[in-house]
Amino acid sequence: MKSTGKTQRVKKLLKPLLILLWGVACFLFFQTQFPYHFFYEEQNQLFLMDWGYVSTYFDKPAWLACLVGDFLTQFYYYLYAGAAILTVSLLILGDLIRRCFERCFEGHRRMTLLGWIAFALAIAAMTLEARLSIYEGYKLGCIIALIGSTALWYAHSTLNEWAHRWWVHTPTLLVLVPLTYWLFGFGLVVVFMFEILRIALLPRKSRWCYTALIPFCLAAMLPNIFMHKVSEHYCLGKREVMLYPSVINWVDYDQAVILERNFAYDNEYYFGHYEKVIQMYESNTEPETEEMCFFYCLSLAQLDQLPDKLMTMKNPVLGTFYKIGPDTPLYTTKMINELYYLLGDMTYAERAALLANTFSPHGRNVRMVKRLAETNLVKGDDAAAMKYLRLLSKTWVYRQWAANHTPGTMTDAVRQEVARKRQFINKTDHIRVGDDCYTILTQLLDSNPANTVALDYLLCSDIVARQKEVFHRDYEKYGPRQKALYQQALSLE
Amino acid sequence: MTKHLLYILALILTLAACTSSPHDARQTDEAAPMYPDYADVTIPVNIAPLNFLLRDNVSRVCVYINNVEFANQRGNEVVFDLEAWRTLLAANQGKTLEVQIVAEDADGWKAYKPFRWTVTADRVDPYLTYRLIEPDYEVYNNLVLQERCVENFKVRNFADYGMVGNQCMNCHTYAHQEAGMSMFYLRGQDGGAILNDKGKLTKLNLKRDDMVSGSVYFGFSPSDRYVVFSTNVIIPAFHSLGSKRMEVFDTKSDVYVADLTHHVFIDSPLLADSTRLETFPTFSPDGKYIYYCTAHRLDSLGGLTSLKYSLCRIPFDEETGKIGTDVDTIYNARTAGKSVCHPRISPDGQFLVYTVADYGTFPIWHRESDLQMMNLSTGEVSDMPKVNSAMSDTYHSWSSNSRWLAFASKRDDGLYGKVYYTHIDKKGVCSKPFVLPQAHPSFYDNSLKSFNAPEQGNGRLPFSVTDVQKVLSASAIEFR
Repeated sequence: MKSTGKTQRVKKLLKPLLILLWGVACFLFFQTQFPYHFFYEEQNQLFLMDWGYVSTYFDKPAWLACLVGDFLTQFYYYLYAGAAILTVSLLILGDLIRRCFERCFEGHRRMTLLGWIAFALAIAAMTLEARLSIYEGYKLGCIIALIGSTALWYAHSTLNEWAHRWWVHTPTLLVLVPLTYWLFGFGLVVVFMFEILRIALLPRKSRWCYTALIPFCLAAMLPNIFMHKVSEHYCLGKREVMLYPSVINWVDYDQAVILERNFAYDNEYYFGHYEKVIQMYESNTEPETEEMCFFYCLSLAQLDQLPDKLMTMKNPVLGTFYKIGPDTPLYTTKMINELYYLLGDMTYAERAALLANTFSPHGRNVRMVKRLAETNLVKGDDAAAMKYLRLLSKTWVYRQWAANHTPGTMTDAVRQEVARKRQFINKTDHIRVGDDCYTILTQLLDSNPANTVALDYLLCSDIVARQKEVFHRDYEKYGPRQKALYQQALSLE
Repeated sequence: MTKHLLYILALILTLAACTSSPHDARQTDEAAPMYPDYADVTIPVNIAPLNFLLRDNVSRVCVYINNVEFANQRGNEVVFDLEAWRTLLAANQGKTLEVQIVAEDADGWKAYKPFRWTVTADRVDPYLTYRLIEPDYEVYNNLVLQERCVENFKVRNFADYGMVGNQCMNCHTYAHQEAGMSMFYLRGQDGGAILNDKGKLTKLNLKRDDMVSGSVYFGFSPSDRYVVFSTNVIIPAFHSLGSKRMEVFDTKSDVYVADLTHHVFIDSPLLADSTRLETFPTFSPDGKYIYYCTAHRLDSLGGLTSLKYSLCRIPFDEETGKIGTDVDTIYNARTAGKSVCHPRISPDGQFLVYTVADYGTFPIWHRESDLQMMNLSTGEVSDMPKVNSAMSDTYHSWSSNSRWLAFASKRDDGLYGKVYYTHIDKKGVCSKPFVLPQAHPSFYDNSLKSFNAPEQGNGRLPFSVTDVQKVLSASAIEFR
């Protein structure tokens, strides 16, 4: 008797335990394997705590899913928050899916088995969503959309369980369809899916079955009837109307891992951890990417070590041979932004930041907005800087950063950094067609011969390009610079 | 017990006496830190409410108009009730309103320096179209052309990237502010000039093999039969000095006329001179002249700062469709030392407004760009000091009654263009411009888009995004 009670208790605890295990595994997986993906996603938006901004979410369907998703995504900035938020969201989704399946199975024999099937299906759905989340463009809003639509269908089915009348079921379903689309966009698919399943599992000869089919058919017609109007209203193509806000991309796992490695270098550089970037690169045993090498070079330049370690790289990627334009990948544009900001060319740093911002989702990227504020502060264009600082002051995460950078309340550290960067900007005006980095570097050096970062990039680019004569000429004009690499290069015939 | 109640009552009364109200506000000489700046402006009777915010740490704002409380709202934003606003303006046409802003901060209520709103009976055209674009015009992503009703806050996209495969689109221009006749461009695959003729959209291929490019800047003749347009080879460039940012210039450009009835091009060697650049064409309101800007072709990039355009006009006969031969110079760049672009004549033919900059053809990135107005009867030129700012002021368009000029200005931050309106009376006296009001006072603070090429229209455009999507797949009408 005692052991039966114990078995019952164990059985009761088994599902929560499995869920707990899944949650821990999910958290650990994302936190250890893809932590920098969260920083990337956080940077790829600009969520403002402002009613005027929040109201813009009504311009598209799934406004509630996008609003909640973007609101939560801003907290990915904090360590562990990304994995925690994603895990909790997936657990909530899983629980709702399990409940919905159980609701569909209600009234059938072998409920214990069906309960386990519902549980397994929920775990499968959670795992699928977790896998989709590896894609850096898969927004949290998509999961919220599924959570919201599942919750709405569950509430609808609960109401109908209670009322059990066609005149309750029909109007609620007819309201549920547009409401779900308005709030949760593509999550509407879930409503139809569970509704079909529920009808399919009803006893065949049940009168309820036929009264269930009529409202379902009516509801199923709604998207077809209003597709054109909805498409015009939201200015979305037919495919986008149906899928909004989902961007499903079954990204190759190995590619995601490589991207994560790039994000790691990028973000550690962004956080100012230059030694860490150098240490990561020098201890790396995996195949290296251009991006890893690029950020390694930037970090070396920050610490005045670029010529010292240039020749230790198999294929140095300085970034000086990159071009930006409409076809440049977003990530490369962001990299060029970092390069020009370091070199001191604020026109091209601003241009790259503007382009990266333009091509980010919804034309908003908080990291680029910060950079736009910085470039304008360095240029002494306070009016332009204030445009961006005002935006940042409305964010949860960067409001203190904005206050520290605002002219008038600027901290001493920021003031010193701005003054230091300002020494290296161009002092004379030239009009340049295209972004030939050689011209950009020489113009910076003409303005400021003490810009050793620009000088190192110029001379190192000459060496990488094996332009011996050009190196000699540049060294003669902009040198001397006491670095062993340059002395060796000079001594070569 | 009674004693206690009396004490409590006394305490409440004391506290109530200490609590200040807007009526006890301390008067200051400080101008209200109002954004957008709507102080001392002339406004049309049919404009949407001038919602604003205070850039001050205040917890409540009251607005008194002619000493009567008109708004009393928490926070630092003021959003007027649309119906109350309409009633207020309708009742005060031709009058001046005294506006007093009183706000509560940590030290209690303070009254800012009062200002005035002059309500004129000259109505502004109810619609405005513009393109929303990031302030980097060399590339585009997610472009939209929008139509805004300026009498309220209704806005809609009439061409949207989502419906046309993220293609470039630009320059929606009405024929004489008529919603029933207008044109804009869709660039890229299957693109062309999209002509709206009373809601019927057709795609035109305004390009011939010997032209340097497809059409760029254009204007309609009074009869709507002709469109004068420029073809331009446009090169983007960048300044090394950060504050100047971008430069865009033409290496080739010519002007042609397209006959929309017979689908033929009309050209003249005077408008397609290979040694010169001709651009920004527009018809005079009577259709007797084509106004355009012209300069010598650039020999090298180094000479860009000497690329200065003059404003000329050449006769045109709408009856015969013939371009004349006598070219008049209206604005001589050599003597003025400036470059002129975007000539626009008021529908009543009284005033010609154009942009002047130090050089080049892309004034939106030239901070020194200013509007100038020429009285075509007297030849008198006004620098429009009340209208211009220290930043770029350009891309102007007239209202159908010739009393309102809408233009794009970057006066706030030098980066993001916004639409401003200025009232110009029959004598050519301009008022201080005001920015297009928005439903949310923080709209401009939150926006990362520039308002580009604003055009005033007298009605709602009779087509939608899906009509534009459909016409994209239609075949284009070819011109000979």
